[in-house]
Amino acid sequence: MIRVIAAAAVVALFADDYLLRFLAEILLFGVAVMSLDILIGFGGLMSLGHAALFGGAAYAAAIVARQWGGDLVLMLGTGMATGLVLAAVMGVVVLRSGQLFLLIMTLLLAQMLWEVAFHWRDVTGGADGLRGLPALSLGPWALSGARALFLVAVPLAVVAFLVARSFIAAPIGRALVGTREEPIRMTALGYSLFAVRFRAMMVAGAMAGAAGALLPFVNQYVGPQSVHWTLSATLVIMLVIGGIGSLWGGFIGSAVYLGIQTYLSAYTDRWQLLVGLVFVLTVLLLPNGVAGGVRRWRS
Amino acid sequence: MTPILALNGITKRFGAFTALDDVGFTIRPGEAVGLIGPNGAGKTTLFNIITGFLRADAGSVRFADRTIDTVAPARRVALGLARTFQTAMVFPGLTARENIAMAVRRRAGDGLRWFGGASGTDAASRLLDDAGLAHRADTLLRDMSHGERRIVDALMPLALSPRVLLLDEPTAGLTRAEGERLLDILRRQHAGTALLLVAHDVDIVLGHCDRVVVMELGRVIRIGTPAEVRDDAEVRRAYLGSPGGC
Repeated sequence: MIRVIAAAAVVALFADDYLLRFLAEILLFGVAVMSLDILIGFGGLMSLGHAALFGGAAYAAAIVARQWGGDLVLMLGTGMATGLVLAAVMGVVVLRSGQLFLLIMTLLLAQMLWEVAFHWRDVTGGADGLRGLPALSLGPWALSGARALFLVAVPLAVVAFLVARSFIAAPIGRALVGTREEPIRMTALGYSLFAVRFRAMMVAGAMAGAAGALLPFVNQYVGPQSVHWTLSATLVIMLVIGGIGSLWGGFIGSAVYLGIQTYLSAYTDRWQLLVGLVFVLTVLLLPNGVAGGVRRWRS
Repeated sequence: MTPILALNGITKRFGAFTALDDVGFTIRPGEAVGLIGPNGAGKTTLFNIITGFLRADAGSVRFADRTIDTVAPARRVALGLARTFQTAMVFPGLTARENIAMAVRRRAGDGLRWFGGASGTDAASRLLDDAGLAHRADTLLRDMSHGERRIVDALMPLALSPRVLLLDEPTAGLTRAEGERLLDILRRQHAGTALLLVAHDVDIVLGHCDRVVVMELGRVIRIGTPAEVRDDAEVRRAYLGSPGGC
């Protein structure tokens, strides 16, 4: 952890604005992927609606910021509250379903949110999205520069990782793993599958919401693509590349994906071909993702 | 003595097939009751109805003087009704200690705690020690033998300190000696728990149970002591076969 913080400090001192903003985006996406890992990797709950939690919080933060300013605490609170509410709604609707139905139901719910974002032009800006947001701030200090955004994203990612790791190590996290491995046995031990999975959904929602709330300030924009199911699929791809069930693999996956997207798209429109190739190679050669490969190499 | 578990007129149909037809019997606190019958007799279906995994078409299940027909399976466990399954249902990616700790935490009401480390490992260790598996406590279940997995599988519901424990073929796949050892462990670990035991090895059932219920084609055809059941002509015809069959 100390090494991570030291590395972040060095990067913050020497990297240029473009790189810092890019790294902040990686960290925010990494937190969202890590929260998805709680559901998929530890709970076996395959979701194609996670962008609704991440992007929904981004919209909520942007809308609130336009009204009351971009106070960091207010933004994080708004994002987490939005993530929690959306996760609660999603959880109540989908968690009594299993496998394929859960996948489809999460996708449909997220698409309903996309419909709202796309058509409620007065509030969400419709297809154009929302731009011209006020600067992020903490009390009297403006956090508008790339360096400040990066220095906000780093502690958020560290805290989110510690919370996720603590959650998985706690009895509720062990129970979540149990519901993935033997749901019938868990019921026979007296655990309510819904209660366990709903709690996991809430933690994932709060985490994705906190990260999503900062995304509009890093990108200086939020649009309907933020809640589209294709972003949910992108988060899953990042998770697979980074390593399912590792938590920190989410950051690797988002770095690989966003790196290809950011740097290769300058040369070709077909950068997604390379993403596809990386995805296939990961599945074939590193079935547990980059994180799994690192674990295997270390052992 | 008031029965801890009372089944009354349990009937279950799957389409035109009647799996259970007016099944009824009682179990007293601390009593060990064997449930035997040929394949298709309805034993597992009855287990599923008692534990709430299936809903009966008719009849009722009373547990501790309370009708529990509409009570969810997880809630029935909280009332004191625990079970095993025909195949060992364990968590292969967790160690033996963690498997049992999952049950210990549930019993202690600590299974859904958000933060802090996983508890219940001390009690789990004691159970494993009593069962002679202390040296395997930190082994993943996927790396254990079938017999060891079976013992862990049976220790999990036992760790819930149930008032009634339903054991569905706990000795399947075990040698006679392993099966006897497992049942000895179960009786020793929780002498006050009533047992409802299904096993194909009739000698094990007759040797460990106070009473035996014999089923055939979804109906109860005999209830009695092991000696009475062993000597019953209809039971011999339906299940035990030749006079030397058990």
